[in-house]
Amino acid sequence: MTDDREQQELIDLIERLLAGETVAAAGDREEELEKLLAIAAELNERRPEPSAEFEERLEARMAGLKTATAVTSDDTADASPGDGVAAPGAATGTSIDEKSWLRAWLSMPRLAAVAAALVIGLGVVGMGGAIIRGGYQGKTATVSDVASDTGTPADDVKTLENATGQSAAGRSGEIAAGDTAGYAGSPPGGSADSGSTAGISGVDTVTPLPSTQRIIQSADYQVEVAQGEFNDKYSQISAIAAKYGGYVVSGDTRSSGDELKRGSITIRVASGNDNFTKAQADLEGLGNVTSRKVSGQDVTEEYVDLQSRLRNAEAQETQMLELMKRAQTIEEILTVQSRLAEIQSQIEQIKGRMKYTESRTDFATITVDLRETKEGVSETESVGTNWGFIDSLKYAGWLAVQTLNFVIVALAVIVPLTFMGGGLAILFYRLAQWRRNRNK
Amino acid sequence: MANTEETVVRMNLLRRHKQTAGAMAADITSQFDEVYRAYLRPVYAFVAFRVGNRAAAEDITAQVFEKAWRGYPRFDPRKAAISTWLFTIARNSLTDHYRSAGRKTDEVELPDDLGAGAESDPVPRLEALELRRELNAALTSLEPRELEIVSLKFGGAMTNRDISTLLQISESNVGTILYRSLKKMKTRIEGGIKND
Repeated sequence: MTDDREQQELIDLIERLLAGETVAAAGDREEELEKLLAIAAELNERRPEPSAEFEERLEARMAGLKTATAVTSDDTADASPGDGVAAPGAATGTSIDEKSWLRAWLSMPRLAAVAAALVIGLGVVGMGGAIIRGGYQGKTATVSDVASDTGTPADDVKTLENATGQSAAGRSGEIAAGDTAGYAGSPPGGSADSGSTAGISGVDTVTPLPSTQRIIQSADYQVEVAQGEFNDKYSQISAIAAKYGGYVVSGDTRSSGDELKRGSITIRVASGNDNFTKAQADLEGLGNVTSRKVSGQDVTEEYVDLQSRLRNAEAQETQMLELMKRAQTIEEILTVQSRLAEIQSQIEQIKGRMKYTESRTDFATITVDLRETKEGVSETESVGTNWGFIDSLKYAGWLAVQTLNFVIVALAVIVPLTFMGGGLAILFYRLAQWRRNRNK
Repeated sequence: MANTEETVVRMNLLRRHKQTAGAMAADITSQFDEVYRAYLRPVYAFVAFRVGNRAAAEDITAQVFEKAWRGYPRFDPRKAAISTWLFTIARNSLTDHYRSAGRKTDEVELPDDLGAGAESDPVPRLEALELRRELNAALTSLEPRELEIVSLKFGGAMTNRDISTLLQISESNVGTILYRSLKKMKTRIEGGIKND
């Protein structure tokens, strides 16, 4: 038999084999062909099959994909006539290309107008925000000024500055040099900021909660202190963190126009030993606490769950290592290896989550919002002790000036922006015209 | 403004188009389900033959069907058979796999236990293992192109004609390569037995 004929016969037999026929050995075939057929049959028999578990997984994944794309159905809208390749059964004749519609609408002059409007709009919004901020702060300042009856021209100038300068100075805030000392943004074990009063020395007293109970504790305080005491109190809070085996997470300080300092500081104290409660008691003594919010979140269940998952994964790892020792063929080694790698990455993940939970529960977080107030003066008092007629007259006058100020400042911002936007618009328009002319 | 009117008209048309597109999407979903059911096994088998590693085969198969689902709306049955299209995606995914794994495309891995069924009787199982090892060894002796065609034939269960369109070679050439590959495997197996 020639090779050609043998080949043809083998191909035919393979087709029949793949069609599910049993191609039994026949006496009239040559030995060579019979052997080749046996290999083909074996290959056909040994066809790799996806596991049921994989099929399930893929099915679920595909179902997810379908619901994700079915909602928008933009993929199908893509099958525009321009693509040339249409979806099966798609009536593409009426389809409209969404992008070309957008392109038509965003023609050049329009684009220019939109850009200019955007620039101006941004300016106005930003300006408005600044004015409202400035106006608001200026207002509170004046009310207390009026109450203390020291409405001297110098004060008025100050309020004016307050209102107008707030947009720049007030927003970014002045950060006093000494205040950055509070920034010891390093966890225990890290290096301490040299200027920080919250030394790391106290950290070795860390006594975490017993592992049976895991609670994420946090507290928010608002404390008022007398004018001039701010820096002192601020360092006291850092000291509290150090005292209870904690550290300063972050801090920031602003001093507003009338030199009343204000800032917030976030500290963490080690849980356990009632440290959290003790630290709170210490904070109460700092000044006039105007607001406090304490919360706790029990994550014990999550943590225990993680622990048991870890134990489980580690047991599997040991088993796999044992199997690895006994593996003999390359296939076996490869199988065990890939499973082992899977388990080990699982273990790393679980450990990571546990560490995170531990770090959040080993330390409680306390945020203190500290602000100075003028001694002896409070807004409620000032309203209660007089009739307020003169105050309201003064306030009305102040508001009138304030409005004028607003107009001046707003103009200062809007006018240059309008010129800029207008310039851009003209530029774009000219460009569009030039292109249109060139295309003609 | 005349432009505004035009815009409104266009938007209405677009909205109507989207509604028909929604109905079409449902239609396409059911069509694709059929494709998925019919080709999951062949595609998986083809990929598994090529990579010889269950985890990688599963990964790549999943990728193939994901890509297929995304591309399905643009697939034109008048231009190509669905099997050619799917296996083109599969081949591209394999190339990606080898590239990302930093391996050369022509490298062949030893297929491990890819089949789902394991016989319980120890004696036939041992024999099967022996046979599989021989087959594996024989498969590794093939050239990349030969392995590809064997995988498409026995894994993908494709006709020679479909393979020829997919690989852009003549149908008779497919037959020749298949024949040559089986002969090569036979020699290898016989040689292996002699060497034992």
